Amino acid sequence: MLNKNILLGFIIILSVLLGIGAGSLLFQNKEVKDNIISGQITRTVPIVGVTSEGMGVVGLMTVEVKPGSGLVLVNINELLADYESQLSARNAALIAQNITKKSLYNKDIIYKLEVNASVVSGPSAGLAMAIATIAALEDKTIKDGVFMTGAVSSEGKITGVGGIDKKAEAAKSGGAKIFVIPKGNHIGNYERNKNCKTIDDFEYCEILYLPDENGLSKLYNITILEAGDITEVLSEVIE
Amino acid sequence: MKNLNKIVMAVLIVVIIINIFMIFSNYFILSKIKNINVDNNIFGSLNVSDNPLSISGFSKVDEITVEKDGINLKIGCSSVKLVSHEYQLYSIERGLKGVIDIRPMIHDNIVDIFENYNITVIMAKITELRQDAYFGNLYLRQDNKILNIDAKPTDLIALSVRFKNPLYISDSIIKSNGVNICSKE
Repeated sequence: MLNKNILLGFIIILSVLLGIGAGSLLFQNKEVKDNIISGQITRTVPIVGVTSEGMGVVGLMTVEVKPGSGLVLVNINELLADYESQLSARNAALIAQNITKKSLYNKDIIYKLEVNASVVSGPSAGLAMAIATIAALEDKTIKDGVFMTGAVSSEGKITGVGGIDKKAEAAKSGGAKIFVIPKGNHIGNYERNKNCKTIDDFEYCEILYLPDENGLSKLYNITILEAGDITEVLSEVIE
Repeated sequence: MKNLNKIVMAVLIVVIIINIFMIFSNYFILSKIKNINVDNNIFGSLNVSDNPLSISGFSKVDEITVEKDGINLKIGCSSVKLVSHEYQLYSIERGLKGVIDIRPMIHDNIVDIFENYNITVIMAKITELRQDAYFGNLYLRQDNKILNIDAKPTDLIALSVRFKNPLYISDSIIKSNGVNICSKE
């Protein structure tokens, strides 16, 4: 009987010790995972813009994620970024946090834009900022040859921007294979469509100029990917 | 007997009140229906949603004025401004004044072509604002042929001031881009 009690006590103590051991291993593993993010991670993506002279230009956008206190910063050492660019940065960080489910309260996110201009204006780098931040937080890479343009809302909706045809041309010259644009944002490529039918005793014809959805692809020989929400393009641009 | 008379009188008064109400409500409904199709002799068999000439959801432009950098469309108490370049503004201004320069504008030549081929302008509609660009349609008639052409609103305005056809603008544009000019006065 005494032996049985000793054995039972031994088993209980062993179980508790094993439990503590397993728990500490899990804790250590979590620390390892956190260490991936606690170090500095950067991701760089090409961006496209249009100069005040109406020329398409290629630049670079680098996001740096490092330990901090939840700041979202736009590096303006090289150039000035307007209100919309700063709002894009804030939205991009928010989207990345929501999609990756990784809290940013203990990290700083710094966006650096490098383009051949003195002032960056408009929200069109928002999509690139969001994708790069997601890639950084998940320690993934952005596929080679992916260029993107589009404004993003804090909910992750991609909205229209100007100068798409100039940007597509610039992306092509910069080596783009895939160019991600906001859904329905292919201004500049419309086709004439004529349809006729008989209504009552009248011949009714319509001549409408409709967007040619493959127009940009044909014109610049690149794959155009249209998206209305950031979740639609994640698997296409991040690996 | 006296009571019966009173009851009959009361019933008659109620019937008269109901009839007056019906007349007013019918007038209101009819006036709305009248505005649904720009020309009731065309596509009369179609309902509003299928009728290409339906003007449901549109308001008629009362006045067109040209400014230095754009055109103002006055619709009741609202004003919608369309920014345009110099050539279009000049053509609209010429059309409003009914003046042709030493050389005709393209819109003057379109009038020549339409008149020669017996083409009348039924109406023009400014339909939507998409990515900072306005869209519109011009509705033409030649005998029993109707043609709906997708066109730039500034061209529609330049033609409308020459043909004096009705010009309509979408209520959603007025709502989103219109300015209340009555409250300013």
